[in-house]
Amino acid sequence: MRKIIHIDMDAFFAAVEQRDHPEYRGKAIAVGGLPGSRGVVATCSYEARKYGVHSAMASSLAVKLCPHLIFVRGNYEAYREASAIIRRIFLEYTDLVEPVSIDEAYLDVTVNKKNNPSATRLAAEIRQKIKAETQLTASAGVSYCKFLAKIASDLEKPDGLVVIPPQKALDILSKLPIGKFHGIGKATEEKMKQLGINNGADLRSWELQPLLKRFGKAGQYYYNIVRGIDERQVVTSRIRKSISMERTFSDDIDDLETLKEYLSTIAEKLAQKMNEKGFKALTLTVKLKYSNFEIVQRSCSAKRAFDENNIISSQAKCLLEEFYDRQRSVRLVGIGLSSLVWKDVKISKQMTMPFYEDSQYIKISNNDKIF
Amino acid sequence: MKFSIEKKDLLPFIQHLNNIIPSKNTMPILTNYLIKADENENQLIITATDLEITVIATIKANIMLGGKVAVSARKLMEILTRMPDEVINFIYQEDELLITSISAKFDLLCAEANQFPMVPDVDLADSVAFNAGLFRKMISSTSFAVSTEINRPIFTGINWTLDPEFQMMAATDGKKIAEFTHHKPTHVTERIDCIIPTKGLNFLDKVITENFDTVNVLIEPNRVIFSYDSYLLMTHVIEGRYPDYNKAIPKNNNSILIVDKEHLKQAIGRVSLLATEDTYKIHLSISNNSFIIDCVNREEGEAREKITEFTYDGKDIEIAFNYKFLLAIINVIETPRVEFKLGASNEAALLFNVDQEEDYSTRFLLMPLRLL
Repeated sequence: MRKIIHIDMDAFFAAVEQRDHPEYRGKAIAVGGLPGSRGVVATCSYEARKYGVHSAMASSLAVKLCPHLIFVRGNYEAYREASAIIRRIFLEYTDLVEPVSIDEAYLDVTVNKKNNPSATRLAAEIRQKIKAETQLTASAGVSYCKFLAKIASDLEKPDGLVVIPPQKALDILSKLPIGKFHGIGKATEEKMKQLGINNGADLRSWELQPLLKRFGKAGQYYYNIVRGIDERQVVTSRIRKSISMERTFSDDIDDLETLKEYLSTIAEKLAQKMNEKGFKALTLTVKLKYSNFEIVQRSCSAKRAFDENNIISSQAKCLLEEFYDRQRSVRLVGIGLSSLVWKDVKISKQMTMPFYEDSQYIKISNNDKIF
Repeated sequence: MKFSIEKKDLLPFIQHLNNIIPSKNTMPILTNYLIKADENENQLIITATDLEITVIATIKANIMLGGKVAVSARKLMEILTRMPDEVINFIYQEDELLITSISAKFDLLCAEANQFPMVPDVDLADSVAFNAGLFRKMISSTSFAVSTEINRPIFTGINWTLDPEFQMMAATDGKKIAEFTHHKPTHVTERIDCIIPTKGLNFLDKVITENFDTVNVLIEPNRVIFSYDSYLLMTHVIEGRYPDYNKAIPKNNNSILIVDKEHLKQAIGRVSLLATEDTYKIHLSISNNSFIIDCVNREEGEAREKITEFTYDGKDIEIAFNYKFLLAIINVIETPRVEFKLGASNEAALLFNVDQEEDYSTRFLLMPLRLL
C-alpha cells in the first residue's frame, strides 16, 4: 500500500500578507484586483471567508459581502520565496514530490529519506517545519492514494492534519457532499444533484454502466473514486532523460543510402514511442559503430523540437552525412533523443538581434588588458 | 588636519560616493576616500575613484586646520551612519583619524594619502549646460537596457548622441533596445557620439534632484566630465562606434495593441508567478476580441489571466516574452496606456507611450522568445 501526503497551504497569499504586515492580522483581507477595477479575489483570509468571500470571486461582489474587506496588491516575490522554502522542505523527505500549484503538492512517502514508516508523523513534522521556517500554516492529508489525501487535507482546514486509513475511507466518502469530491466541478455537481446524488453514498449506489452513460469517460473516474480507488502516481517533474534506439546489422553496411534507410525506420519507431510517452526532444544524437567496434556519435540541438517522424529522420540523416566516414563499414546505427520535455510544454528561447552577435563587438578576453 | 561638520551635512555625500568604490579590490588604496580639508575655502573635497570613474564632492565644513587623509570608505560610512545626529569632529594626526561626537570616539588607522591616484585638473570653462531633470529622465529611460556582458564592452554603456538639433540616448543588450530622443536644439555646435559606462550615469541618476536644474558637461576625446551641484564626475568613454541598431527595428509591425499600463503590470505580476527561471517566459495570445496572458510551468502548474480592457487592431498573434524584460520596459512607459506594435511571433515588438505630448519621444524594442 502506498503512503501519500497532500500538503495545502492555508489561504497562502493572504497568509503571507498577514505575516509580513501585522496590521492585516485578524482582519478580512483579499489579495487580488481592486473592486473598482473589475478584478477578482486571488486569495482571501479566513476572516474574509466567514462573510462568504472566496477566491475567483469578483472583487466588487466581495466588498458587498464584506464591506470592511481590505484589498492588498500581491507581493508575488514574497509568495515565490515562501513556495521555494516549502518545496525545499518536501525534498528533505522524498524526491517523489508533485507540485500542483505554488501552494500545494503531493508527496509519496511510501519510501522516504527519513526511513520513517509513519506517514502521519512525517506529515506532522513537515507541517511543523513549514511553520517554523515560513511562519505559515499548512493543512495536510494522509492516505493511500492522491484523491483521498487531497480530500483529507481539506477536512480540517486551516492548520489541520487528517489521516484517512483504508478502513475509514468508505465511511468518510459516504458522508462527503458531492461538491467536495475533487474532480467534480460546479456543473457536474448540479447534474448529479438533479439525479439525486447528494453525497458519496448516493454516488456509490450507482452502477458503472449508468454512470458511463450519463457522464461519459468521467463516469469511470467517479465510479472509482467513490470506492476509494485512485491509482494515479505521484509524478515528479523529473522525467526520463533520453529515449534511444539502435540497430545492429547481421552484415556490416558501407553504403550511405542504406544507412539512411535504416535511420528512417528507426526514426519512425522513435517518433511513435515519443508520441506514446507524450515527449518531444530538444537534442538528437546519431551513433555509429564501425566494423572495428569504434563508436562515433554526433549531436545537434533543435531549432524546432524533435517530435515528428520526418523531423527526426531528416535531422538524423543530415548528421550522418556530416560525419560518416564513407570508406568504412558500419555494424550498428542508432538515434538518441535527449533533453525530453512533455509534448504540450512550449519550449522557447530568447531571441537576440543579429548585430549583437557580430564578432567586431566581442572582445576576446586578454589578460594583458584591463577592462 | 582638523575639521567639524554636522552628520546630516556629510552622510548623504558619503552614501552616494560609496557607489563608486570598486567592489573588486584590485588596488587596496581605491577602497578609501581621499579627504582634503581646504582651510582657505572652508570646504572638504572628498574623492572616490575606481580609476575609470572618479567623483569629487565639495562640501562646506568648519575647517580648523587644512590637510588630507585617505580613509576606509566602508568604515567611514558605517561609523557615520551610527553616529548620533550632531556635530562630528575629525582630527588627523600621526596616521590616525580621530572621529568624535559628544559621546563616541573612534581612532581609525589610515592609509598613506599620497598613494591615492592623482586626479587630473579639470577646467570647466568650455562645458555645456543641460537641463538636469531631462538628463536624468534620459538615463533612467535607457540604462535598464544595457548589457552586462563584459566581453561586449560597447553594449555596457549608453550611447549619447549630441546634435545641434537634438540629443538622444540609446542602450541595447541585443534582446531589447531603449531609445530616448529630445527634439530640441542643444548647445553643441557639431554632432558628438560617445558611449558612456552606465556606472557613472547611474550615479548621476541618483544624485540629481529638483534642487539644482543644470548639469554642466564637458566632452573630451577620452573622457566626459559632468558637474552637478556639489559633485564633479569624470568618466572614461567606451571606445568604438555604437552599432547601428536601426536595422533590427521592424518597419512593418502593423498590429497595434493599446492597453492600460497598470492593469497590464498587475496581470504580468500575477501570471509570472509561475514563470520558470530559465526563460522567465510568459505567453500572450491576442486577437481583436480577446487578450490572454498565460504561463505554463511543468513543475508548478499554470497561470492565466484575461485582460478585458484593451484595443487591438491586427492579425491574431501568439507571442512569448521574458516577463522581466517586458516589465522593465513597461516601468519606464510614462503614459497611463502603453502601445505595442507587433509583427509576427518571432519578430521584435515595439513599445511606445500613448498620446504623449512632450518635446521628447521614446521607443522601446523587445525581442520575443522563439517557440521551439
